[in-house]
Amino acid sequence: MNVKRRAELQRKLSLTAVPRPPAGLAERIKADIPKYLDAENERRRLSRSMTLNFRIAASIILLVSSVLVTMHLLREGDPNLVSMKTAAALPPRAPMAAPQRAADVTVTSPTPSEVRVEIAQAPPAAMPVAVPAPEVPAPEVPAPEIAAQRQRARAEAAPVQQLADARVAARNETAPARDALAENAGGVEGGVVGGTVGNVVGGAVSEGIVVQSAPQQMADNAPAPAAPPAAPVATAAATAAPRMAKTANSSSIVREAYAVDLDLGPRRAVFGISVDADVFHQIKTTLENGGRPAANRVNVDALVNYFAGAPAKPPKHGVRLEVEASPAPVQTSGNGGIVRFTVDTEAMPIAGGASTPPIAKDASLDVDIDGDAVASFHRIGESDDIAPESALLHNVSVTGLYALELKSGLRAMQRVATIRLRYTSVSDGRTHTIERVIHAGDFTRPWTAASRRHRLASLGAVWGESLKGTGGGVDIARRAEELALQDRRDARAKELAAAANASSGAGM
Amino acid sequence: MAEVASFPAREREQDASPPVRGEQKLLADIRAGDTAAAEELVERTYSAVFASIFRLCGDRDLAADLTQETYQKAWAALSGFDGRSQLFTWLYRIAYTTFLNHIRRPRRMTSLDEPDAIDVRDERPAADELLADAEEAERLREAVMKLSDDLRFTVTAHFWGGLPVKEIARIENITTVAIRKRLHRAFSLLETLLDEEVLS
Repeated sequence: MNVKRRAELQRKLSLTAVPRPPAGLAERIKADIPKYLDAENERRRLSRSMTLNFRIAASIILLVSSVLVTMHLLREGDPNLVSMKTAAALPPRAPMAAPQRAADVTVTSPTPSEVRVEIAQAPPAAMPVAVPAPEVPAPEVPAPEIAAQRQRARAEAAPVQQLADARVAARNETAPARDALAENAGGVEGGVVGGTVGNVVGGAVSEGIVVQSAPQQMADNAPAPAAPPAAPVATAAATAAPRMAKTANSSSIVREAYAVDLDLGPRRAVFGISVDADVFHQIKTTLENGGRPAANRVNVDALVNYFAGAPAKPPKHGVRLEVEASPAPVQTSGNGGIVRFTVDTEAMPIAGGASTPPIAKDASLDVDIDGDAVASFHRIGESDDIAPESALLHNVSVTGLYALELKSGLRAMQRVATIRLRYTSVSDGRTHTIERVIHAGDFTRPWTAASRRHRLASLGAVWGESLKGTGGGVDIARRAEELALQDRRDARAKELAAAANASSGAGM
Repeated sequence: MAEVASFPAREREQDASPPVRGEQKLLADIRAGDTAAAEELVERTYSAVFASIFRLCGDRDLAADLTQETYQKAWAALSGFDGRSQLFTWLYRIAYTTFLNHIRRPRRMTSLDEPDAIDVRDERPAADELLADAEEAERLREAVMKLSDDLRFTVTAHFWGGLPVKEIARIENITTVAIRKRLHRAFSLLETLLDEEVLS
């Protein structure tokens, strides 16, 4: 564009005549001014009230913590006394007065499992100090004997605690390891899901099962049973039995609740488009072994996504829609073109085994092809449909390709396709729409001028289709080699060149 | 067109950029609930907002309605304005979005009047010349409307909204060099589009 023409255009743009605003427009606008514009004061007031709420909440938390700490200290002050009172002084109808810690629980019973379950359900309010002193009957077992029983029971309970600890450790282990553990524990599959061994927090049912089942097997294997319990405690254990059975029945409810059962790995398909990287490696292995992959094992979507890969620079925030058009990489006849869309989401470092958080929900892709400009089209891949995605995770890159046959005689600015990505952001809850328009002029530049990602994706698609039985592989291999030579650090281009050569050598 | 206001972008740039201190004071007063300050903001900016929207849509009545809608949205969004850009830049962004929403929303009513009927019915002696200018302006407007979203916003914000390149770069969150590249690309495309119009 010459300077004169540009200046003329600028002049026309700048000097366009504009009518004066209609009379009364200013008054109309002023009439709309709301009465309360002081949003700042509102915000300050809200902030003050929130601060007050926080202070109240902090005071309550402090108060409750103080009470709990005091109770804990009182209990810790004389453990023998507490145990004695627990073992001997409680009436049969108040069996839950024992301390809550797992180690202490085992003291009061020769069958630790029963008592532990009973005590795990005991509310903290049932403190021994609540029992009136004059009503306490004399203990049938002297205190030194109780202490000795307690030592013996602790020694027996140690493997139980180890087993429970092992279960905690197994939360992140594989399913076989978990199963083996369950087998060792007498075949009852419990598990600690979000819970803490000893203090039952968020995992009471599982905890109950662990404690119930493991000692029973231990008792089977033990050479000598523990000493018989004191009478009141035996009654308490008998009372606890029906509740234990109920707990055991509920084991089937939590059987599937292991965190390790969740699929925390990367998604294999996004928008219904396969992004499974294993597909390429399987094909590559088959080719390296001198074989030929079966047509139904070649997933072109997956190959496209493998070669499109991750973006060189992932979006810093939110979601990005990348759209590009070019002539077809291997031109057969007519005005064949390729349209690529790629959705990249914000990168986030994820620790091993951790789940990837979503960045958007209710995402949908809408591809609108203009029939005035396009004679025919189809999506390259396994299906023409693009499925909606209920949740888009971080670190996602998904690419889709369309093959178009353009009509002749198109103007440069004629619309060929519009691609829209709609999603609701998880961070702000707002719905966003990203729209990209492809014009006929976008197909005029050569395929070699397209971005590297576009060329690799489209070449991967053509190669995939050739593996399925159509098209020749030699030209693809040559183009892939050119790409690999342009950037020797690009491992994907090298892989494609090698695989395309191998497939063409295999007679495809 | 009875009265025509000249609207060079550079002049508007100065009009739309009052001293920073005054603008901040005005904003603070509005946020403090001062209705008079809000009216002053309207007085200062409404004609420029109207002109920007008129250049986008080419219809005087529609431009007036959309200007009113722009300010309604502005009052509602005032608490979210962080003050990083100038007030007029923020208003222009709202106006542009309001216009886009208008052209994208489904039409429930179709006007029987021509969009530029007022201009055509002007009976002043220079009506022919004005008509020719109006037609040329309309062609240019249509060509601008055919640009892609980013190019269209850059061109209209700079030439019709009077925003400096630096301000556009700030609200688009890109460099001024990128904005200038956009303008260059837009000019090339506009030239192509206008040539195609002439040939056809």
